[in-house]
Amino acid sequence: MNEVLINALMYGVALVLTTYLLLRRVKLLIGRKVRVPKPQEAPKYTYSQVIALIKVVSIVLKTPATALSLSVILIILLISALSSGAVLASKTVTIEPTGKYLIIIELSENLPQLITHELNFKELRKMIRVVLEEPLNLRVGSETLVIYSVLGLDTDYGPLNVSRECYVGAKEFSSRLLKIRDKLVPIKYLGNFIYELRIVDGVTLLKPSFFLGSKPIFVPLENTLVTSFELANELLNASVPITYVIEFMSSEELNATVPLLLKYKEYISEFIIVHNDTLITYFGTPIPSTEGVVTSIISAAIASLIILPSTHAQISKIKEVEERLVIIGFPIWSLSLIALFAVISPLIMMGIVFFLITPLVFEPPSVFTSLISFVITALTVTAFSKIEVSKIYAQPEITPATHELTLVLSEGPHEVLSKVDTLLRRDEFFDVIKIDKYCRDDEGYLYGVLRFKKAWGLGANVEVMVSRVNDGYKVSISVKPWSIEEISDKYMELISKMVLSKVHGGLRV
Amino acid sequence: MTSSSVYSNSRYLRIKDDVLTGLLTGLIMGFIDTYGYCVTGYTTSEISLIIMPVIVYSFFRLLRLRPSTLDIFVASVIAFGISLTSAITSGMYVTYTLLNNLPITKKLGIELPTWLYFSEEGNYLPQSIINYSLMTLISASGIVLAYIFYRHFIDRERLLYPIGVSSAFMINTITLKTVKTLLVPFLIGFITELAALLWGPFTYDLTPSLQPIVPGMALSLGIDFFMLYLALIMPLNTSLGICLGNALMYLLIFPILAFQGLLLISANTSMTTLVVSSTPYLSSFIVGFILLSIMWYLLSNYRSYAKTLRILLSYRINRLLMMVSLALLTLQIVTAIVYDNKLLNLVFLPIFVATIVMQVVLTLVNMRVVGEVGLGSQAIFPIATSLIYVSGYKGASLYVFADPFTGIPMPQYFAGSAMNVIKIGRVLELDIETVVLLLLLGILVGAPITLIYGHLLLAVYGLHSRYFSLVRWLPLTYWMVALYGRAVGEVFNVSVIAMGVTVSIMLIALLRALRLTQISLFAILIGLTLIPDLFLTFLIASLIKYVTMRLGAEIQESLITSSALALAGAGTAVILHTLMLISMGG
Repeated sequence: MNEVLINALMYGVALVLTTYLLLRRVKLLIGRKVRVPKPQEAPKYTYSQVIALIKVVSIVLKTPATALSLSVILIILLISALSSGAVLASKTVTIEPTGKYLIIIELSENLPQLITHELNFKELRKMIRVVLEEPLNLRVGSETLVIYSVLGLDTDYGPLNVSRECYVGAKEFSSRLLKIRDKLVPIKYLGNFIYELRIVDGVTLLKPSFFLGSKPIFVPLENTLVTSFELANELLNASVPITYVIEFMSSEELNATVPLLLKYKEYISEFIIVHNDTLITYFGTPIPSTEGVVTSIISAAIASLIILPSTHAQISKIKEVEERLVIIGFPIWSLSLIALFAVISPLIMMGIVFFLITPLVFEPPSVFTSLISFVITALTVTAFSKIEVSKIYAQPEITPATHELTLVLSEGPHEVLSKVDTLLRRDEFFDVIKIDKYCRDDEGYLYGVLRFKKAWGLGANVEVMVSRVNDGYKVSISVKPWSIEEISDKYMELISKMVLSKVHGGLRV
Repeated sequence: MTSSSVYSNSRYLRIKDDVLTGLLTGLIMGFIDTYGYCVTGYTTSEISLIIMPVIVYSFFRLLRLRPSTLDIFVASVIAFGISLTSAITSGMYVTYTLLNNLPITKKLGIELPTWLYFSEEGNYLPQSIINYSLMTLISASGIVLAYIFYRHFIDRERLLYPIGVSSAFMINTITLKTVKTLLVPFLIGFITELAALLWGPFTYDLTPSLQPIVPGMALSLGIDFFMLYLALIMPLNTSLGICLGNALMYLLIFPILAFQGLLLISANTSMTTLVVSSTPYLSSFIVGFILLSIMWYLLSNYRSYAKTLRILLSYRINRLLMMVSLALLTLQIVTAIVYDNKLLNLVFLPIFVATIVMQVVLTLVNMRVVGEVGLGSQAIFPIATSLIYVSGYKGASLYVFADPFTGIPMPQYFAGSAMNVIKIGRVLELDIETVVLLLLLGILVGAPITLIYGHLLLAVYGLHSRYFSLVRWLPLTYWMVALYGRAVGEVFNVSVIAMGVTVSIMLIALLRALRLTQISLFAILIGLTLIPDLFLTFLIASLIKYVTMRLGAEIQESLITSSALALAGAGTAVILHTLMLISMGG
């Protein structure tokens, strides 16, 4: 408790000290005058550009070529989904030869009639192997035993004599009696040997809690109970999955049984097959068959071949409205992107709608094969459209914009810099964040930081240097545009040109 | 538009109103961030610096006050300070509660102080409040370091601090917007997030289907609206870097790990089980990756750092502040010794010194990361963890009090956030000392509040509620148990650390060869640490940003301000949803 008081004291001192120092500073702040801005209507042109973009997409949407593309894609996606041919995923590993043919199956619900009546087997063993989410609190005298992992066996297993005893990893409970319902069962100490016991090579008798990497992690021994199947079933109210270990006489008998069991796949949470030295673990999730994946790839290739000519028609349609787009303020270089966007967006929208609906109708393998078809088709169409668009909107490269300019004027540094200062402060496109001016005799320097009013996080730094040359003054203007985001070079050049032309023009006039 | 028509009048600063509004906003945002951090595992408090001005402004307008940019800033800094503490207090409180409830914790004999976690049996809340507040004070050493070094990062390295600059622009912009323009994006964010909370999450896990095709590969299709709005605010290259890192980890590194037999692909391999089981390798890979990245960064900048240190040592006030910062960092070692007497041994002295030095180095690196990427990353912290691990220490205390990754104090996190706030102060031309003190006040006031929030959420929901899913914390907590107990052989795997180093070298070479150096190594690092269901969200955000950037800066401005407002709307939906659940009894 003492350390808590010391901690409280240290925290309190820090809080008081911070408040004191802040109050001293606040006295300076209280006298500070601030300007209160007035809200303005949002500029309309931004929204007009978005609306124009939507209209361009709608123009493309209305063309017969788009209808053809979308129909083809829809058909192909459906074909891929229907031909997926779902199979259960499996993993095969080689183990030490067992000389046995086994099926280890965990059923989420107790279905004894299924196991006993429908199957032809040599031996059947059942067990409960569970790791609980909520602990099971068992009373041992006046103490409580907290159990997270329960193993219930129908017969004795190696050193485990479950028909007469139960096992717990806490030594202090050893030789005492555990009361389960109205039965009293003697407790024996459960040693580390339990971790080594296997149903077959590769399948531990005790269920791991989880895996860290490939290493199984078990519930601590003191929270583990090993008992008979009946007692475990009674303790857990028969509401837990049951593992059946079914041994067959031959491989043929085993193979004949697999389809019978797979009929109940919604109840199966674990399914392992052992063919002497081969252990096959079946995954709970179905996956598409190889034939299904190949079909989806071929379908995508066919779809791409049908759609490609129609994209040409779609792009030509945009060419018709190109002039109007330029008039409402789209830069020339953005037209190719708009064309590409207009062609691709119906495809993407279609894909989104399809993949929102299909999981409700189809199984995951069908969704997966459709996804393969969609991705291949979308990538092919995008690549082809990009080539088409770049051909149509190809332009000769213009001379790169300059960021620097030198003039020779008759005015001195004071006049020049005052003029620049006024020009920048009155500019309709830029706000002045900061202007530093320095003049001495025949030399002068101005450094300004400007913010572009019509866009966020965009601006320019301008430097003007004035020095004497012969009869006049040399004025060097340098502009460095900046932005918070990675704006395209073309836009940055535009900013640079605007500042440079303003200063240049103003000084010339 | 001339300045006289924009600024209608001038008046004195309303400091009392600013502080009260800041506290009120902090109370609400602190709750959002606590809930968000606990459920998603990612702190939204760092990014909330952009949302704060919107909320603060809304409160001012509700009170029929018309604030100046400075009023908004003062209130925002206090609110931001409060919400920042959620990662230190409630976030760790929930983590330790989860850790304490894992059966394996008991097996390994890991004893945690009772005040560290939520307990239904005993009421340790007062001790928890005091001790977590002290840990928050220790974390404030990062703010002191930020104050000492801010000139280096802002003036010498000329780092952008995108979140700080975005927030400054938001403060400037918000006062010029009408209610109508603010309301639409806010409502979009609110409705989409509320729909996701009520009927979501909208994810489709492809991982099980992928296992037989490419074992170890993890991919999940889904949209997380909250993260989408956040990704839309980030710079494009950061989003792309995150995508690249995420794809690299789950589409390439994970299959390699599975191929090497390090990951066990079982019948129930879903995205979550794969991520849980891969924790030691994920951490090892990141340790290797960050080791090389830090070395690369420090080697490229050592001259600049040397100059800064020379300047720093020449000022008495800076020397004094450095001492304060080091004293606070030493306090975490002292606390660890108080709770674990076996640390009172000279054998541990070198590791104590190394830990403190590492904390300072990591703080500097995180300030650099924040300057470049915008957000800090806890992903760089396992390097401190590995340092304690190699010392051979077994137990929880040293990790709890001196490890920024699995422990409570995180000076690096506060330092990065303080740099963003200082950047706003610079843009708005406010005295930096006042800015730092305002932030410190917010943090000290916020620590007990956000801890109480965490306690209340656990009391209402427990650990297994559908509405308060803590599943994202499982990988970290299992790994923490293995780390503290030193029981599981592979807490760190040397070959995977080497793989992290190799991939880092290859990426540096590749990015330079392809002239893609604008994609930061630190952004890739964040992508490596995110779970696979966010890949698609960041990819979509990158595509949207790519298109809008090419349509003109006006549309881009619209997108960013709208996203910030949508994020605020999404945050509000989280509050409303939580309040609904609380009213229905969880």
